[in-house]
Amino acid sequence: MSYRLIFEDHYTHGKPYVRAKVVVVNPETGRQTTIEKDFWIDTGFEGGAHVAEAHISEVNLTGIKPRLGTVGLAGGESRRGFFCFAYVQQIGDCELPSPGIEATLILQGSSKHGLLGLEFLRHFVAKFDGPDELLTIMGDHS
Amino acid sequence: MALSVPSEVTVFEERQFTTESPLLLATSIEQESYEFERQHPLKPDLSIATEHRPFLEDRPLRFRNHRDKIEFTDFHFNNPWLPPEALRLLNKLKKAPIRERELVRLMELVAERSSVHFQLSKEKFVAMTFHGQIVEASDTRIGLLRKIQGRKYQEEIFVWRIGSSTFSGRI
Repeated sequence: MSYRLIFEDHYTHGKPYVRAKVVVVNPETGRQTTIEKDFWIDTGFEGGAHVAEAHISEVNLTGIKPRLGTVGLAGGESRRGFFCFAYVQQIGDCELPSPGIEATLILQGSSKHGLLGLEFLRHFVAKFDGPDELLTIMGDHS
Repeated sequence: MALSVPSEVTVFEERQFTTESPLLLATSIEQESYEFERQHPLKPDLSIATEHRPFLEDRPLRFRNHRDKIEFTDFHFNNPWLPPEALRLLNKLKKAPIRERELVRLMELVAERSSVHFQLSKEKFVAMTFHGQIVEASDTRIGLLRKIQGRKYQEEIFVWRIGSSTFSGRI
């Protein structure tokens, strides 16, 4: 299988960030909201995408009610989180084929940047060049 | 005048003692039953022919005023029996919002009891009510969220992965 380059950029503040768009769609009404921000590519995160809980108000506008659940933090502590179904539609300048990559969106905490985790990364080949601080993401998405 | 203990006090202490003892016993039995149920999942016994009607000695068991369906008004078979701590937190939740730690504890208690009650397989993703009733299940978390997205439920629900203390893993 041949892969093409989706994203390539140097780390920001020593961490591999990408600019991405995550979209939540209400299947009943077609209403949707887009969350666009910097996401840290985090291989220690099992979920798809993670954003601050404050984004719930935007999701609620579509008529979608994110569902309660628990989130395990790195320290082993469990916290309340909200879950909904979303699509990752854009990575850097690359628009992914419609409707996008299906992902679990977790709304929890108050961090200003988001996380993209393993559930998202399984669709791509990601290369973390530590010495050069260069992140490369490749995929077969045309 | 010499001090004396009124007889009512003695009676009160006796009553208090006699009411606590069965409660402790019942809690212990419930815990043992729960542990047994957890370690020994129910399986159909092939030696029992289930297609026959129930019987008593050599005669079929007959009920007075037999009906096709026995209905209970105050008991729901599709809800597990919840431990006292979960019931206490549920009552507290009905009255006012509870602390995040208590909410997480409630979800853990309900999910653990419900997964044993319904004998759900590990790694299954489920959405359930706070009374432990399963409203949706899936093999993947995305599949589960896709199923419940936009749907309205009469009760508040939460999502859980069976056999895991968290739904999403480490963050």
